[in-house]
Amino acid sequence: MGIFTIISPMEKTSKPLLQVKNLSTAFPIKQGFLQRTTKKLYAVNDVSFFIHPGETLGLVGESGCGKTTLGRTLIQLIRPSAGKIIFDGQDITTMDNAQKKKLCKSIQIIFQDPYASLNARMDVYTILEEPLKIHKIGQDRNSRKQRIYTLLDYVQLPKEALYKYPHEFSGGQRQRISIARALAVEPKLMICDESVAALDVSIQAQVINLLMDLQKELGLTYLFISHDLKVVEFIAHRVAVMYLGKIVETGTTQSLYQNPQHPYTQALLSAIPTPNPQQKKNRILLQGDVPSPIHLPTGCYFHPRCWKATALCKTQYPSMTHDIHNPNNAYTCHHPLQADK
Amino acid sequence: MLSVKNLVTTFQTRQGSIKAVDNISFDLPKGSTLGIVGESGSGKSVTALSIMRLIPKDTGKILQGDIIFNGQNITTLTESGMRGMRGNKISMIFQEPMTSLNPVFTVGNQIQETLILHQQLSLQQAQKKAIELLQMVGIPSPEKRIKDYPHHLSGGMRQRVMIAIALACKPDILIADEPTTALDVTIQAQILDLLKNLQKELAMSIIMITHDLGVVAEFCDDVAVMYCGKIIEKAPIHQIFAQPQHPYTQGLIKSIPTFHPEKSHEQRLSTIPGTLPPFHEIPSGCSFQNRCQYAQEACKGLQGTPPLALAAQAHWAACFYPLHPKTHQD
Repeated sequence: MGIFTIISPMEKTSKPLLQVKNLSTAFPIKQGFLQRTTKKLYAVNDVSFFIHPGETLGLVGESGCGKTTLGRTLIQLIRPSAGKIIFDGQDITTMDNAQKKKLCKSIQIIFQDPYASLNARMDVYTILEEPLKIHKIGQDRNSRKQRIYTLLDYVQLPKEALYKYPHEFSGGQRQRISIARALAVEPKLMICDESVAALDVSIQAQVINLLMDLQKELGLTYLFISHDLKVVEFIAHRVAVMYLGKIVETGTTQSLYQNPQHPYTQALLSAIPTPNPQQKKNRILLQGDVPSPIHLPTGCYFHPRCWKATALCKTQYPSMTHDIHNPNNAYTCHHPLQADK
Repeated sequence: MLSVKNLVTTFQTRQGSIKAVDNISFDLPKGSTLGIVGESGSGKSVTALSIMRLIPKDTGKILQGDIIFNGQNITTLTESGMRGMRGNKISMIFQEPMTSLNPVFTVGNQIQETLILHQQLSLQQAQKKAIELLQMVGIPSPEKRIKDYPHHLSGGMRQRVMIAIALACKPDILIADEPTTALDVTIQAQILDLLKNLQKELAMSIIMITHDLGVVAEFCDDVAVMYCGKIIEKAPIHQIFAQPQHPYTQGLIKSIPTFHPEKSHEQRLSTIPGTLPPFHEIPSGCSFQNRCQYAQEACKGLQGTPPLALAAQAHWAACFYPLHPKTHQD
């Protein structure tokens, strides 16, 4: 077990549905006339985490931090360069294509853009029937039809919706269709990649409620990838914060939001505008932009923007440390904020 | 400084003519910030484009109403008169810093263009000014950056360049159309902080168009909530969050997930049922009636559309049954 593996007391009592160990995903950078690989960009860099059945893990971070790559690596759309993904006791990185097809049934993904992720030339019936046909669920047309009706019920769409095309729906309704399509194969794990980011607030709230209801009803497990910390706070049981390909802090939602240990987490949380004009916040304004992942800073990746950085931070990447008061929480920082108190 | 009166902007569509902005009025005093909030399709951006007179001519037009800026009616201005106004007295920054900069010109070039056009500066003077402007918006080593093309810069940096261009001629009014929506939270905080400081420095008025009530709460003095092309509520910022009058505003505020240290995971978000109706299907009477939990007979059109009326001090709402009507004046 690597030093970055997060062990919690919960892990001992129930078996995680998904366990990711030291996962890295690298993209080659090709340069020059011969397009030789000169460097590697680590979009996901030595990441370890786990998700228990029925749990929602929120994965937050800014654009370019590797959230989406991580999500796509988990469903094997991108091959990892190192590490293990253990789903339901099986390492899925070593599977052959036939096994992978079966795995598809267990892990489904809902993408961000409900306009781009539905085939414009298929009506809703065809969209929902396709996964059933591919995975041979339901013996005949009739049983498939029954299944499709159930799916519509799950996502609260009327039966009239079946013979309409995606362009006839609003953004929120399209996202409901995407959810129904993902549910068609009875997945255990759903990866929601910015699934509510493109929706208006009032519609966003409807879809969030729907996802939470479905979790209760069907016992789903979610990996909820989002840049919106308010939404994550609402939906997730545990949260992992990513910065430049690495998880910098993880913990149960409540304790992480109330007592962030990593300065980056604290800065992220303080940057959220609150809809309360009375509340005067002490905002931490980070200097500069996220560094390019091609030219990573030495030591802790966050040190050029960190107000607590010392000489140690410039040379050594901090290891994952468990919170003494809260063993479910862990962070990678030489100067956690708790030390201030 | 700016006063918009009974503005109606229409567009021709296949379903007939639609009113994207329907009879809206507001005032923007000098140095103040007005937030315009609403969901997509509520008419926020069309309002901004109407003020800039940038409504595409082939499909849309300002049907009626006056936009009075410093005593001058913008709606009757000639195109060349308007050119002298845009980017000079009234500036705008757009949502997408990726697409609103020209990819084939350097950043410096694009800032200088505004200066040479409006302030008749020479190229050398403009170059010097461009460096100053980049410095003002917090771009490090501006002498080097003015030779960069937009694709060299990050999203936050591009938005800073957009702000530099918009502020090049020290405008009286800055219209910011979702300036931070495409940016990350930490960068959003930087940009909002920058805009606030520049506003103080240049004493300009800002119209902030956004769908994020959090941004409004932290940035604006007054806020106008738009729904289906109409302003349905208008009030100072403290009042609207403490006592929203229109059920739509209340629904919007409640549907934001907020920090509740004591909340249980069983809690649900409160929602507004249904979706924004398409423009050609807006019901007569109150346009929110189909989604409103308080809707009554009067809302269904027999008494006409609810007018924007005073519901409490300085607090306007277009609702027959405002939620917190003030019975006494204080």
